[in-house]
Amino acid sequence: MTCRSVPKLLPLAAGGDLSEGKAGRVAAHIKTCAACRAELDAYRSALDRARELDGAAGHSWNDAAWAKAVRRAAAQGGRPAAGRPKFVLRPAVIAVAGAVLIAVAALLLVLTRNPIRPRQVLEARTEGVKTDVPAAAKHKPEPAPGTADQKNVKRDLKKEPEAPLLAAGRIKPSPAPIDRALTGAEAPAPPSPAQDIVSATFVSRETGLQIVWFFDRNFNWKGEEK
Amino acid sequence: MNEQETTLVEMVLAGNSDAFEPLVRPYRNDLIRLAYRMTGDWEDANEASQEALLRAYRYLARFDTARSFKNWLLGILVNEARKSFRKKPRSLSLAETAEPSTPADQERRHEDGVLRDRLRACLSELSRNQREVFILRDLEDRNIRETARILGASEVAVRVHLSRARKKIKDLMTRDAAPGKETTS
Repeated sequence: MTCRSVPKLLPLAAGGDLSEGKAGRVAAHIKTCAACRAELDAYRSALDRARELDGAAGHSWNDAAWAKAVRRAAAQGGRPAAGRPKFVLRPAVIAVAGAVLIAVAALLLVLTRNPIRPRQVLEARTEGVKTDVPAAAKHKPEPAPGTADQKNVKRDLKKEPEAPLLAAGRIKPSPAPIDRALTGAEAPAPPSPAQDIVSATFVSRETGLQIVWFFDRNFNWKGEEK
Repeated sequence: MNEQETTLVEMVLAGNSDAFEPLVRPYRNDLIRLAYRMTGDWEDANEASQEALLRAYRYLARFDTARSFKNWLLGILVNEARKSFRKKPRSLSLAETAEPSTPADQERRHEDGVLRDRLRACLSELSRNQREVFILRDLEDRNIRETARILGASEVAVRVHLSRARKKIKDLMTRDAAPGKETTS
């Protein structure tokens, strides 16, 4: 032990509250270190002084006060056997607690996973269409390659995570309501109020030709643009 | 818990309230002294002790006879003393309801009061946990395990609080004893 580690142990060493091993190591260090020995003596003196100052040691409860306190306890304490029964973990209690825990966990899982993701994807899908196509009947001509509009389209495709797959024909756009009815496919999330037009873009890798299909909010095909 | 205490507990639980006094009598002075050390006032100590006795009687059915009755009783007292400590701001009253009030004791009582105030000033510098551990271990001379049982804490926590309390007390005592500093005695 060193003069860095011993001082932390001195408060407990002063009252004899260290384990045998630590007490032995502290004692060995104290023999050779005057500073730590002086510090230990200071702790012991402080404890002795505190005990001297303790005014309660010589006092006791007088007989009259004691008898009165005990009588009062017995009179006002009620019937002691009527205490609260000990809590027992019964199987029914455990089962109910388990069910409640599972229900809470499921609720938390649903609340944490659902609310944000579909909305974000939906907004990303419609963002490019809203800016490029203001109405269903009015279609803008295809921007020339290399122009600012062409760059916007490419940027929009980057924002949309499924767009490249959709463009490459690897995944299909969401089925129309009739198709859903026939196939029993799950209905898509309800569109946001701002979404009037949905587009699907197909890009040819060989020629660079782009074909954009437009659908209304009911996913009815409205036209195409090359 | 010894056999005699077990028998007395059973008698009280069976409805014999007279068995309560011999059950708690061995701890009569322990109760009042610990209460005084924790509250710093004899009136509060008396009140806390009476309340502890009342609760001990009322909730005796909850007591686990496999454990120490003394530690259980003192644990109740500690809770009552805490309540009393929270309720009242500390005063330096010398009223001592637990001690016979005779004129011969006046001088000694005054000296005791001064000394007591010095210790109380030191104890008031400690946190609640440190103060309770210091009182039980160093003033009441209970061991670490007993202290932990009474306070409902772990032995490790008791050691931590005790170490900090002793360091603070040492610093305060050293400061008081330093030349050029005024002391209260």
